[in-house]
Formats: sequence, C-alpha cells, structure tokens
Amino acid sequence: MNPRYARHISLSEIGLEGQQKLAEAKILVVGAGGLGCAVLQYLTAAGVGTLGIVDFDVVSVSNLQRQVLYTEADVGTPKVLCAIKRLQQMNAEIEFVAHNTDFNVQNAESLCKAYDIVVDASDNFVTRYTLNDACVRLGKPMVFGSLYKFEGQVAVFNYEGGPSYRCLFPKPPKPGEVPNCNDIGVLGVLPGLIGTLQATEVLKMILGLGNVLSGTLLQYDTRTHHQHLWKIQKRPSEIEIVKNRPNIVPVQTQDCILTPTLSLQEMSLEEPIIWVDVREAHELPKITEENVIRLKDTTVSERIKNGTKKVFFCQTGVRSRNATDEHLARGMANCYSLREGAAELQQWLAKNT
Amino acid sequence: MEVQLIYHGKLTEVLKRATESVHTEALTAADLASEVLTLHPTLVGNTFQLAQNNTIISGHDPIAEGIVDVFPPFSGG
Repeated sequence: MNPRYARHISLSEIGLEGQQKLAEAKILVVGAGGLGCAVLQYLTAAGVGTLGIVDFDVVSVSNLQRQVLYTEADVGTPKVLCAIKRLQQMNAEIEFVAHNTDFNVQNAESLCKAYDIVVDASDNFVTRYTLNDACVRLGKPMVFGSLYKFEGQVAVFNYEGGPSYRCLFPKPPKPGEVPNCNDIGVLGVLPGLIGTLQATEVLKMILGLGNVLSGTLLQYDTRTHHQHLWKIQKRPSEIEIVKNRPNIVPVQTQDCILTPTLSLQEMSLEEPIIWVDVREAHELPKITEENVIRLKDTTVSERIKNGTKKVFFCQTGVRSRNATDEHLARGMANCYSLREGAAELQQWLAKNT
Repeated sequence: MEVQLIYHGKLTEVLKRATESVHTEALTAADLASEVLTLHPTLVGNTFQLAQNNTIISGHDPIAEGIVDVFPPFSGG
C-alpha cells in the first residue's frame, strides 16, 4: 500500500479500490487563476492520476493575493508552466498536461475529449458558455465555480443527464454587466473556498461518494456564512439546441470579443502610433522607443491624446485587451490591443525602424 | 400577498439594499420578475433568477408567500 494515501485508504468508503479510481482519473481544469490554484493543489495531493491545465495568461503581481500556487519569482511566466512546476514538487506521481492556450470554440471539444471530468475555473462568460457547450456535446460532467467579491457559486452540470449551465442562465449577460475579479476585486480566500468545494465534487464523482451537487446551485457568502442550495430545473430545449448545432457557437455579447485588436502584420510605422506598455516595470523585454509610454506612469493621461492611434501591449495580448477595454469605456478613442506580445513587438520594431 | 425579496451579488449594490418586503399581485415567477423591474427600473438590463423553497423558479412557476431570493450570475474565477 502506498503510504502517501494511507488516510484515504483507511476510509472504508474509499479504500484501495477508491484510491485506484483516483489514480486512473483524468481531469481537465480550465483556468489556473484563483479557483484553478485551489482545485489543482487538492486534486494533486489526492492522487488524481492525470491533470490537464488550460490557461493562456502569465502570472502578474496582483495574482499573488489569491493564486497561491505562484511565487514572486513567477511573475511574467506562463501560469500553466509555473503551476505544473509547483504541483510536481507536491506530487511527482501525477501526470500533468500543459495546455498553454486560450480555451475557445475551435479547441474546446478536442481539449475536453481526453478527460473524464472538466472543471470550470474560468473568469469570464465566453469561456464558461463555450465550456458548457463542449461538455454538453461530449457528455462530460462540468464542475462549475464562480465568484463575486465575497460570494461564490458552485454546481455540477451535465452529470448523468442533469441540467447544464444554460438551464441556469440561458442567456449570457450583456457586455460589462457582470464585472470580474480583475475589475472589481475579490476577497483573497474566496477562490480557495469555492475551488476546494469544486475539488470536493470532483473527488465525490470519481469515488461515487455522497450526493453530487448535480443540478443544484450552491451559493455561499463569506460575510455571513449564509449558504443556499437551489435546485436547477432542466431546460431540455437549451440542451438540444447546443447538441444539434454543427459546431459550438461563441456567445457574442462579451466585451473581450468586441475589443479592437491589431496584429503587427497589419501595421506600419508610416502613421503615428503611441505604444502603451501595460506591463509591470520589471517585465522583460523592455521596450524603450521614444513613442512608448508605460501605463503605470502617472503622466500617461496627459500624453495619450485622443486623436493619435494607441496600441496597448503586454506579454501575450491578454492584459492589453483589458486595458484597451478600460480606456475605450472611459471614452478614449482610437485604442487597440496588440495581438502579439512584447517580444514580437521588439523584433518588429528592430526590423522596421 | 407579501413576499420578502433577498438580493444577492451585484444586485444589492445596484439597489443599495440586501432585502425588502413587497406586496405583490404576481402569481407566477415571470410576473414577479416583471414587478421587481417596475419597482426598480435600475435593475432593467441585469440578468437574474428567482428562487423560492430551495428551487429556482421561472416562467409559469407559481409564487407562494414568503422569501424569494433574487440572484445574478457571477463571473470571477
């Protein structure tokens, strides 16, 4: 008997047989942010055999308040790689699969296909609806979790013919209607609590323990410890529509889809451009052209004039998209997000100036 | 009939309150939802669901006297 899992194996409800089921399980975690960090560390410790992780973002300083797998030294490095490095130190027996990409309608089904259960640890509605639709079409259970400041929601969807996320909220909210943690803040411990509940549901499903939170929304408030369990009624027509489409259709109403973006291939230096670096000061490579300004500098607003084209950039094109959205929302015109990252921009500037 | 509405998430900030008692003529979930929007025009355009007696209710589902929870989707992760 592997002494590592002795406290599981001693439970008559788990035993050697249950621990073997955990070792054979394949779980995909979509999002390696606050929820993902909590889910991943408990599934790793529990001995879940294969863990896939999807995330396209890099670690930033503001993640460290709640995304407990990352250290100060990880800032600027892809989350998926940092998470796996840390988790391997926790349990070298686990097979980790890095998916350092965004999760979208093109790759959703192929990413989910190889796994038994999918965990929604995402932070936006485009990903959540795409993930829901992929799970509905593939018949995979999806363990949903999401946060608002001090409150969290958890549920299991598509489990043994149960309701889907679209049965709870058939239509996604309008752009900007529901802010996320990056925009409004979140109590650091909240994703730990909610992510741990998600990990609990994953383990229960693998082990056949207790009552899975299928078709039931658990809503929890850290301020009062009030907890609700609301039964979700199945809407068969919502499920059928998703199943019968030839492809997954992206929900169109989210800000990030509407963000104007530019690729270096479609740009020239013949027109004046102000490059806006949204990264932290220590992130590399440094871009030091004279028409580059740093968003964190206090004088930026004086230098960004409405008429000139402004191209926001970061390491990968994610944070720049948020910054672009923010400036457009504040009424600043002519803002674009660079699809590439700083390294590509540096090469392009060297070649074109 | 009297119902006590309990708001959650962002709705408490939009309305600047967490709960209120209202007198309603509504017999169904859809009717109650539209009464809530008439009472609070600032809620128009916000996605929310209603729950009563541990079940999420919508459309023609009947309303009973007592507590009705009103909650939006959360986004963060």
